[in-house]
Amino acid sequence: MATLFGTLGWRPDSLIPSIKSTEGLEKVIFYHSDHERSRKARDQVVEYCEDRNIPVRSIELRDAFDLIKIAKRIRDDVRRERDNGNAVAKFNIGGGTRLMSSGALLACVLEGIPTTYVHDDTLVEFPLPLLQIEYSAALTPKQKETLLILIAHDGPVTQTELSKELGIHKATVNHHIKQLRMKGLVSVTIDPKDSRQKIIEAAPFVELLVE
Amino acid sequence: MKVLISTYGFDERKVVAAMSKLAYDKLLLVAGDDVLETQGYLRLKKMESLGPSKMETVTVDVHDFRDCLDKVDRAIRKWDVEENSVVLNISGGTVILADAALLAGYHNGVEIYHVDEKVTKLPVIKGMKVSDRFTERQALLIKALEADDTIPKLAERLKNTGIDEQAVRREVRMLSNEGVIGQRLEKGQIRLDFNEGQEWFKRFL
Repeated sequence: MATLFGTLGWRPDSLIPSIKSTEGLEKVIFYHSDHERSRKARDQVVEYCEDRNIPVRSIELRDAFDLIKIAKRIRDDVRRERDNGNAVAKFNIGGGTRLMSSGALLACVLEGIPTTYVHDDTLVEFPLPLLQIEYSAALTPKQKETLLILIAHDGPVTQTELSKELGIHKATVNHHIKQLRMKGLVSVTIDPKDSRQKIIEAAPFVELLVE
Repeated sequence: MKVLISTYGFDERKVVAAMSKLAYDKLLLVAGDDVLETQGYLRLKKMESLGPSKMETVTVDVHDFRDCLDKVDRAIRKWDVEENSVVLNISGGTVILADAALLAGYHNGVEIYHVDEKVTKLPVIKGMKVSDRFTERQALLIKALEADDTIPKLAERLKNTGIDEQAVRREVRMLSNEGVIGQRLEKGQIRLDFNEGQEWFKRFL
């Protein structure tokens, strides 16, 4: 089964060219906001698909203004499709709110999904030059483990706690943290209660890179 | 020098927010040419005229994704050299401009932010570029690939690099699976071409 994903704004014609151009299309899943005009566009796309006997699922993103949240939601949906044995044919990111479109693009970069855009005026669909960037390959197993511990804590962790959980010396933890900090993945602050203690926190987006 | 590259539409508040929340030495705006006479743009220009580095502007066709991608990519490459570093803010301008900037930022492994009322940092590992995605052999093959190519012709052009025909076949298969190269059968021979839009990656190699 080939599934087409898309984001939809106020114009159904930003998504319809992709529905037409996808070979062996068996399902359409698209995201839209709770704006009245977006809902109207949704109804038109749903009707278009139903007329052609293409199963369609529309997903209303009420909080369509949090980029990372949107990217996670979309990534999880894409993974679910793949886990169910359905190939993701492509993702049209041409419609939707700014953050919805960018969140979808982010999910496409991280998951390696062929991505397209439909030109506003010509309505011509074109593919974006995009390759999956495997960020986890740029991390050592210990760095990954450190990030997973930080994600599980869902908040700041002291260097001593990290050292215990990783089962390695504080100095070695310090080395890993330095590397992760250089990569922009963690922040380090001094504990206000104990100036000898460092507090480490994962950047909010890290979950998207390692999970 | 830290260079802040920011997409810009008609609302200068997003750029001002990025200027106040992200550390930078030089500001470079990417915008449509219809904003150059607006009050907001002139205010930004005036604000930056007080500093040591003057603001620069790259104009794009904000409705043309490829033009936006090309120009943001060039701007990043121009400034992300030696002791410089680039941070990218994508909160201004059209959706097309913002998405193109996001993609260019990913390709070049620079820090990307969406600064509005809140600061959202996007998941990027600093310095990890799209070119890291290709092996040395794949990079040579992509550089050597011509339009309507064939494996024997490609292997012939690559023979001085030590890549034999069998290895060419293997790499072509891998790049084909990745969607970079397309293969089609014509008169009993496999013809190779970049898939639409994918020739773009040549510039990174």
